[in-house]
Amino acid sequence: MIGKRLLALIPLMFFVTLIAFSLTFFVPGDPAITLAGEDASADQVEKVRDELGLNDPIYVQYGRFVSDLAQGDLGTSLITKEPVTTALMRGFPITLSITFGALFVAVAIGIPAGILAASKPGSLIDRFATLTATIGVAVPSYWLALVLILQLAIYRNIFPAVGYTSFTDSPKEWVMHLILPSITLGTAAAAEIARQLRGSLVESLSQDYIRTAKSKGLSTTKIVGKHALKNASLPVVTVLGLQISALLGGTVIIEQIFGMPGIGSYAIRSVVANDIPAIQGVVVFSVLITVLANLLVDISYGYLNPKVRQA
Amino acid sequence: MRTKKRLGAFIAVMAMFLGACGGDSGTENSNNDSSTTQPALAGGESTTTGPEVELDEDAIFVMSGAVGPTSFDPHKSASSFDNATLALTYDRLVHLTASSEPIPGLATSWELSDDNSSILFTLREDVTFHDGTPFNAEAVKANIERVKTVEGGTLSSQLDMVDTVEIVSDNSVLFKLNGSPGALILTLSDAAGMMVSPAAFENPKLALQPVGAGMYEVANYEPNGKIEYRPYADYWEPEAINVAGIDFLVQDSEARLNALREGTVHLGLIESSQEQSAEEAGLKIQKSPTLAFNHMQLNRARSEFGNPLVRQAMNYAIDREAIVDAVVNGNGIPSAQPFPPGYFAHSADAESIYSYNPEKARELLAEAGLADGFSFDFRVVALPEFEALGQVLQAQLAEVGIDAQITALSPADAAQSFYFRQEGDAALLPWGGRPDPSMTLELLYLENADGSAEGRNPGGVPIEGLEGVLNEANALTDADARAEKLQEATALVVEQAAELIVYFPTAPSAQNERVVGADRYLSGKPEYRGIGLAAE
Repeated sequence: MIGKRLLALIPLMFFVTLIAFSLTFFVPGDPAITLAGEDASADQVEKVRDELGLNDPIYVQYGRFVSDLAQGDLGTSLITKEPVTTALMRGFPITLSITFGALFVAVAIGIPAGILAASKPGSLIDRFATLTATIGVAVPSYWLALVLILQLAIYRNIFPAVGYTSFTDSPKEWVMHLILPSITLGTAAAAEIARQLRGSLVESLSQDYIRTAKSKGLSTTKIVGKHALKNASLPVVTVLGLQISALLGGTVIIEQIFGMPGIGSYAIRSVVANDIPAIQGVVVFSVLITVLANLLVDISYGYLNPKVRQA
Repeated sequence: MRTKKRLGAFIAVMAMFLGACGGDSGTENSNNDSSTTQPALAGGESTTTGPEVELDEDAIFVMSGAVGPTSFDPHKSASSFDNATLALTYDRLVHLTASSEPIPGLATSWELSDDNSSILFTLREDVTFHDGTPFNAEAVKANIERVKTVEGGTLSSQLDMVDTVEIVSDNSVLFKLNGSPGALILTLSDAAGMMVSPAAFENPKLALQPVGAGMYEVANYEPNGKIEYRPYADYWEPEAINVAGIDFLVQDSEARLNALREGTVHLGLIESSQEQSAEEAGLKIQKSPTLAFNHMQLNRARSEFGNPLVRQAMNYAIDREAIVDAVVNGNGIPSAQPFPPGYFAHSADAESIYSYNPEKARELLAEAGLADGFSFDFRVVALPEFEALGQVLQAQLAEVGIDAQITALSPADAAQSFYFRQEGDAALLPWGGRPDPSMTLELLYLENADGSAEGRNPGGVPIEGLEGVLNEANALTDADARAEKLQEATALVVEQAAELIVYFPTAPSAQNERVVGADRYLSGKPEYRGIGLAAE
């Protein structure tokens, strides 16, 4: 099954490269002029255009683009002259750290909240949890970020306001720098998970086999943890999978606000500066990551529901 | 805390170098006091004349900017914003004071020949590049030739006036000139004068790994992230380095303000809207103009802009003082000319030519046969300051019957759209300034270099009479005489109302209270010599 899915990646990525390549024609601006400098003459610009191979026929340029891609070469940034692949590799651990931090927050808050709400449906706890979840989804992340920074970093020096320290440099600082961004990004996801889990858990708990288990005298923990949760978790894993894409996109704003040079920041800078190779690289890379993440989610279905495994 | 560092001694050393020849050594001291509400005019040298400050020599100075360099190979730099990050690691033949006067850099003196056909540079001795390569006449010759010929070079036209470079001795070079030398000295204070180690010329990674002879080496470079500069142990002027290193962080404005407030960044530009938060956080604010200005540039081949009467009318129609107050909270110097007060090419005569006078504007329009006004295609960069400015200009022009129809320009594409694709009749753009004032005047107001309509003068229509005056100015190297000629050129451009220059932004910079020696540079390209942090 995994093999088939991986094979299906090929036509998908081909389609993506076509889109990424054609960006050159939809984004205004001539990369040759960007490179040639502020006061370049028309001659100098033409020379640069030749050097970049921009005067070659389109299919030649596309062929070059794809063959470079196949070798892991995503081109060179027009603005910084750094290979795009290098920049993405450097930014990826940062974006990944924020994404996993947010996922951790989402799961750590969302799952207990969902279970709590589902265990006593209709109660005060349930209503409170649902209300909080709704607010969590509604609050804009950038507002939450600025409030957290002001209150916990600027006014009270509990956490750093900006920046990122890699785990290898200082594990403690790595965690400290990730806490506020993770809370900011993870709140909405936590709310989604809590709502989804509450819904599917309430349904699971009303099934016949649960009543059977209860009558057999199994403890609530075992009932909820071993039986109900496993079946209720399928929709939650789906939500988690969707959240990964949302989180990857959400890191763009979070990285700007917290001054973390991840892929999100790179994407913004590239777009603002019309850095076409960088934009193309980010597009291809992001699609690849999202597709792989969803593949992982699909694989986990197999673990959770044996019926799916045989498909 | 280790040895005390006398800032006073550093000032004394700087003062010694000011005595070398090569133009006026200004001793104009201006006050960059944060408590003044009027923006300070051209900065002087180090503003510290008070008691000596003990510096923390073990500190890492952290500064923050919006962008990093487009290349660490200065001869392929594509943007004048690169200078601030390049200058920390690349010394130039000529350096500048904060008020843009040339002082010795890697060249200690320069002399023009009697017939104006060559300049002899005497080079500083015992200087080595960061890779150990000696700095000498051969290195200078190699560098100048590289600027003029290297593939992918962006600065070759800046050294058009240099024919060849001859080695006279190990520490002196003769620049043979084939044209007007006037702009050469200031040009060599900029990227074209940055000396790269010849051993690194062929290094394909030079754009990411600089090898200069400047104060700091780049220990670590993460594009779009940070640059870590560490002192070069054998630097020829150790007094210029007062810290254990400089970290330059690329951050967006909100993150920068927060970093300044929490003290993890010591110096950075902030937006006018952030000034209050910065002051409340105890940061010191500095404001002064640079050579950059905001202008409604006109394509004089389009619409009615070929007629000087129309252009003059437009200059009378706008109220620059009110605009600066409304659009940037007073953080700007209203101006109709392309150089700020305090700069040697600024014309005092041109100050009084235009004032806000809608009546006069209407008269001039009537004289031009346009009593009913006219409309034109007005492109405005889609950035908040420019959008606001564009709307105010539109409103003020409408008062005299001129209808400016606004279309937004994407910031990254703005220059290409107006200058290369000739889109729009006029555009509201920033002008970043150039190393020498004659370059600004040539680029904006003379025919484009290749005679086409493409270039910094879209439409290619020159200002009459300017070429002659500029040629005279560029034939001179005596600072006073040249300044006078350039002022004449400036006045001419303003009389002819070449375009609508509106104001020189004095965007505030915020610094930690411990920061010492961070003077604002009129060129907009600070050199950070002697920058440091007071001991806590």
